[in-house]
Amino acid sequence: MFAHDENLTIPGELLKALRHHAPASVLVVGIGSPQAGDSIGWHLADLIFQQELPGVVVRRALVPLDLMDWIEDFSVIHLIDAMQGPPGEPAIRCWHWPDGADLVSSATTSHGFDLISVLKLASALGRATSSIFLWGVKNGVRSRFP
Amino acid sequence: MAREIQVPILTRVEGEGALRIKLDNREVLDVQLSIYEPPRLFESLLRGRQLEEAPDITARICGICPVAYQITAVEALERALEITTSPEIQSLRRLLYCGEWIESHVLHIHLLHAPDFFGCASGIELAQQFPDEVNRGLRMKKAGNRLLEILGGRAIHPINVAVGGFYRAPDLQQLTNLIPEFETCLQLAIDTARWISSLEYPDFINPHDFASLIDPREYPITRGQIATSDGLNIGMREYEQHFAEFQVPHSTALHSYRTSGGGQQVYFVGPLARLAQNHAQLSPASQRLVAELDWPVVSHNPQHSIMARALEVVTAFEDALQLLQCYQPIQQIRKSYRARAGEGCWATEAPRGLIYHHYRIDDEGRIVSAKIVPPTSQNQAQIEQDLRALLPSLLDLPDLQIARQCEQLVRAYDPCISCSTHFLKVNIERA
Repeated sequence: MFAHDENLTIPGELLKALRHHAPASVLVVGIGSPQAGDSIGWHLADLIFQQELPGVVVRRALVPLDLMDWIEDFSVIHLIDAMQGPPGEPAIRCWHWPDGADLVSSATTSHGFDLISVLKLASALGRATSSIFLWGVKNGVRSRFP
Repeated sequence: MAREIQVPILTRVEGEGALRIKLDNREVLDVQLSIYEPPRLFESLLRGRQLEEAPDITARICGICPVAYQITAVEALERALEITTSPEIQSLRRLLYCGEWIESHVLHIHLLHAPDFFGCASGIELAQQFPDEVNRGLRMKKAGNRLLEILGGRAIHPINVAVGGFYRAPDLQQLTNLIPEFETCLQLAIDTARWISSLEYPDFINPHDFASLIDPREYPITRGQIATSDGLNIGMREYEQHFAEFQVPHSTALHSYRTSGGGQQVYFVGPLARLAQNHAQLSPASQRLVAELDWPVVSHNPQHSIMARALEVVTAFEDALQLLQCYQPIQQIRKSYRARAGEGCWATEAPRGLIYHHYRIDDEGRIVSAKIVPPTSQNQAQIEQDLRALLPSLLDLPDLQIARQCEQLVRAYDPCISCSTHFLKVNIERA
């Protein structure tokens, strides 16, 4: 665990989706780093790991390309990443890939491979066969669940 | 007519930088490889820290080649402490480094550099045309990452490298389980080298002064002498007598030059330099490939770097296999030591080329000073010189094509800008 808002909890929508998909082979990937707002993906992945949900494997990814190593091994994949957006827009958004393919990464990423590029690469290679959900979470989000 | 050509963002490189080219009729006025990524000040950050923190802090310089920073740091600090690690520890470090060469080279070959040879704008476009080849590359990358996870604790920013050895010994069964996949990947790497050798290469050639480690015992990764193609052959402690870094106005990264002959001479580090100076030490499968393909192991065409990487991937898999097959649990995984004042330096071969570290520590084991010279910093002046040599042949082309070909030349070096700021937009001005 790393320094972050200790009051952060798993968004109820995400937890509900995880329970809905079990016992299928489910992978949850927190994407980010230990730094500030970028840590939200890792932090939520850690919280989900602590839930010990049956059939759910939880991993951290520092760079989205990590996903290519795991994408074929699971039937359902939930990807959690920090999201930016203007005030008033939803704090949590979910896209069922290929919805979200037009999302734009605002950050400079390793060798230009942001999460959307990696998912497009996986699709081009015929490897994005699982059901993939993208969860964008704004920093500081609170949940009333579970 | 004067003109300035800009490529706002150089793509498929690690980090942020720009390229600015000024032309006047048929004369190249200026070429500036500008790195505007802020300095990260790692050397200052290390001062006052305990020496044990150095491998984990320096690993943060790069997410692609953290092992290069870790191994170079611990080897330099061990010289400062005057301790020697066992051959078994040395072998494990080489094995870990092989994992990094594999994942870094395979990523660059398939997703960053190869698209240029097929007119593809991205690795995604290449994957649509060559799915089998790209999938093959990703399988090899996965194998490299798995090795890093087992030996380093995790694939990115590993946490198991320690001054004196490793924090924990790897599990014998986990390493043994890698052997079948590494045997398969060795054949995949050989197939990849054959594919890469068949690419149509631009015929641009510019004489280079290669600099790399050389080692008659093995293809150099973690040890050796520092040698250049004009005959310099020195121990690591002599590095700073022959190489120095200089500030340039247009870049936040230092430029490194050879200074031994007086003045500032550019030099070339990386796979092409390593291959030119160490082809006799390639692994047996790589040597058979060189013979089969009649490949020019001493080449001054920067675009041949992709083939040098492909041959090095074969060597890395073959070396790793041998190390995996020979591995026996190590009794003393970390050599003990007492803090003492001292000074030490070391150089290794990061995937992108020679990397040099120099530390001074006090009698309580705190770092007094640190000097880190990454490969991209050493190649920046060489990249500018190559662009100056290439540009006269491109002057009749539209600005967009000039920019694209310059960008491709830069990508052949696989620059790691984030490392060197410790670098790209292209801007061409025609006067």
